[in-house]
Amino acid sequence: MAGIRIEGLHKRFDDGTVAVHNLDLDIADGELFVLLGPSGCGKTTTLRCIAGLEHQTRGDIFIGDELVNGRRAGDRDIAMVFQFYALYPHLTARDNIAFPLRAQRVDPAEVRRRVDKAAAMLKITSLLDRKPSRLSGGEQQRIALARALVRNPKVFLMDEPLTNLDAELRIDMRTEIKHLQAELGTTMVYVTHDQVEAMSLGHRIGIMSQGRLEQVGPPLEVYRHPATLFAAGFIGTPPMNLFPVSVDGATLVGPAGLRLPLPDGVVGGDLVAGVRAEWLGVDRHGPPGAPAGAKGTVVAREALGDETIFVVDVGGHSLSVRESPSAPQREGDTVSVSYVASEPPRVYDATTGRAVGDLVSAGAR
Amino acid sequence: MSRIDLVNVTKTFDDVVAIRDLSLSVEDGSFFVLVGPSGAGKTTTLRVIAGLEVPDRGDVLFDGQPAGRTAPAARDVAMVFQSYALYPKQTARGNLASPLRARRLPADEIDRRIAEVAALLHIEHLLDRRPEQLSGGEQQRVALGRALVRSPRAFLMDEPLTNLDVKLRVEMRAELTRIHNTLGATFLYVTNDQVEAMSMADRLAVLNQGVIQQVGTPAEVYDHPANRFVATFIGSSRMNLLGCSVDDDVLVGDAGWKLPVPDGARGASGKLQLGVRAENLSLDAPADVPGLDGVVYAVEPLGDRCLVDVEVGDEIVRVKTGPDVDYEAGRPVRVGVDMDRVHLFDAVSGEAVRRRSTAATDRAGATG
Repeated sequence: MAGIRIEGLHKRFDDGTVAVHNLDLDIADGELFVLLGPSGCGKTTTLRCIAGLEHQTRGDIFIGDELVNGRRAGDRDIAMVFQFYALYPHLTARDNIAFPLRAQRVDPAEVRRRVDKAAAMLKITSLLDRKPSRLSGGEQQRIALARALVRNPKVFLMDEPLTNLDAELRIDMRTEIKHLQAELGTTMVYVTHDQVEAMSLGHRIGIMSQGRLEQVGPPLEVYRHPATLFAAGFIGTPPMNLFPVSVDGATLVGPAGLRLPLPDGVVGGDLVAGVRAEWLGVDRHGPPGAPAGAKGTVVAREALGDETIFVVDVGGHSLSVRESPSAPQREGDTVSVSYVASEPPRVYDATTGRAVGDLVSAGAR
Repeated sequence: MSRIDLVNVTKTFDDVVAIRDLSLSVEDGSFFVLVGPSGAGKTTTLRVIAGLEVPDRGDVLFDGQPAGRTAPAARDVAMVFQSYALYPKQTARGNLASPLRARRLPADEIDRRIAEVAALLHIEHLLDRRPEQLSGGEQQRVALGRALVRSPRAFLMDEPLTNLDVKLRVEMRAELTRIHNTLGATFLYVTNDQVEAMSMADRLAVLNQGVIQQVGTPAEVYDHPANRFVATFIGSSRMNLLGCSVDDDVLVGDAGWKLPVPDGARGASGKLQLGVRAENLSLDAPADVPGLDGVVYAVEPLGDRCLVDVEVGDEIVRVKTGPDVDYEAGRPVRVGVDMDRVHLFDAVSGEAVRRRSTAATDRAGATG
C-alpha cells in the first residue's frame, strides 16, 4: 500500500493541447480520492499519467516513496478498471479474474484462493463458470473489478467504471466500491464526471477544469464552501444559486431586495452570492434576527416525492428552493423567499470567480 | 384546447404487442406525463394519438370525437421530438415561420405570432441566428417555438430534453412548466426519466411492457404505489425491498428481523416483500421503536443529505439522514422503520397487499 504524490505535473500533447497544467496533489495512503470534472478537464490524462499509460511533459509522480517517472505501466504495481470491461470473451469469469495472476506465474493453489476470496467479496461466486456473453453489464463490471482486486496492488485507478451501467445499478455498485475500498484499505484514485458519484464515494474530491485543480477537499466542504464559481455550479442538484449581490451595511442585498447575512471579511465590489437551495425557504422565516425575505413568483413546483424543489422568480433571477414534500405553494403564487441557514452564504468576486471573505476552514459550517 | 381519451387501444408490430388494451384520459389543459422504461410503449401511444400509427383495436377521442382514420395533419396536434429537426439553412425566425407559411397565414399575423412565442420562450435575441449558431438548449427552444406558433389543440412531446446536458435539462423542466401554465394548453409528455415525470406532471401514467401500471398525481404514485414496479421505478432513491412473511401478528423477515404487521395486512399469506423508502427509515432507533438490526456497510454524503447503507442479514437497506453523520462502516446500528409509511407486496405477483384508505389517497391527490 502507498500514497501518491504528484508535483508539477504538466502534460502537453503533440498537437499543442495542454491537458494538465502544473498540477500538485498529495493523496494519502489508504485514501479514496475522486478526480471530478467535465469532459476535457484533464482528469483522465492525470490518471493515465499516474498509471504510466501517458508520459508527462514535466513533473514528478511518486507512488509510496518511489519516483515512478521512468517506470513502465506494468512495473508500477497498480491495477486499473476502465469504463469498458475488456474481458476475454472466450474465457470464463474465473479464468478472466485469474489471468493477471497466471501471467505472474503465481502458484495455482494461491490463484484459486485469491480468486475465490475476490469473488466472495464481490458476490459473484455463482457466476465464476460463465463466459462474459452470459453476464449482464453489472456482472461483467464486477468481474473486471475482481480481476483488479486479486492482484493486490499498491493502488487502484478507476476510470469512470460505472458510466455504462444503468442508473439503478450504478447506485448499487458505487456502494459496493465504497465498501470494498474501506475493507481493503488500498489507495484508490477514481475519475468521474458525475458529481453525485464523487460526493458519495470520495474521502476527498479534486474538482478539475481546463487542466487545473479548482478545489480539493472532503465532500461536505466542497459542497458547502465551493472555492470558485465553477465548483459552485458543478456540485449539487439543483446547482448552487448564483446571483449578484452588494454590501449594504451589515447585510448583503440581492435581487428584489433579498437580504443575506454578510460573511466576515467581505467588503464590497462586484460580488456574486452562492446559495444552496436548502439555505432558502419559501414563506418561512430564518432563525431569530435573520433578515426579511423578498417577494417572488413560483415558476415551477417540482414534487419529487421526498422533497419539493421550487423555482421562484425573484427580481428576474430563477432561484431554486428546497422544501418539504408537503409544501403547499403552487405555480403562479406570490411567495416570500428568505435566507434560512444559520451560517452566511458563500460570496465570490464576479471578475476572478474566486471566493472572497475570511475563508472558513473545513466543515466549519 | 382539447381533452384526449384513449379507449382500449392495442397496437401490435409483427408479433410484438407494443401497447395492450390501453385506456387513458388526459384532461383539457393538463400536463400529463407517460413514464416508463424503454420498450414500455410510451412512444407508440404518442404516435397513435398523433395518427402516425393506426391502432389494431380501440380508438382515440379528441373532445369526445373519435379520431378514427383522421390524417395526422388534420388532428391539429403538434409534436416535439428528441432531435430538433430544424432547417439548417434558415434562421430561427425562418424555422418558426415555416409551419405558418405552409398554412398561408398573412405576413403580419406570422410576425405577430412569432413575436409572441419568442417572448414566451425568451428567444427574441436569437431570431436571426441559424441553428449552427445556437446551443443545444437554444435549438430545443426554437423547436418548441415551431410547435407553439401553430397554437394546436394539444402538444405531444417525445423525450424532448434527452439530448440536453444535465444542468440545462433541469432548467428546461422549469421552463416547460412555466410555458404550460402560461398557455393553459394540453401537454402530453413522454419520458423514461421519473424525475422529469414527477417534477412536471399534473398527472402521470406509469407504463411497463405496454400496460398501464398506475395513473395518478405525482404524490399519489409516490406515496401509494399500486405495485412493486411503480414502487421501485418512481423515486430518486429506489425503494428498499426486504423479503418477509406474516406469522400471526408478526412480520418476519427472511433475514430474521421482526416487525409488527401493518394495518390491514393480517392474514396475508405466502412470500411477501416489505417496501420502505430511504426517508422513512432512521438510524440508531430506540429499542422500543420497530426496527431492523444491522451493520453500517457504507456512508455516502450527498451534500444536502447523506445515504447510509446498512447490511441487514444479506440485504442492504438505504437510509436517508441529514447531511452531517459520523458513522464508520462495520458499526452495528438499529434502523427505525416508520410503520405508517411501509408497503407490502406479494413477492410473486408484485401487487401491493395493503392499500391505504381512499381518504388518504384523495388527500394526496388534492395536494399533488
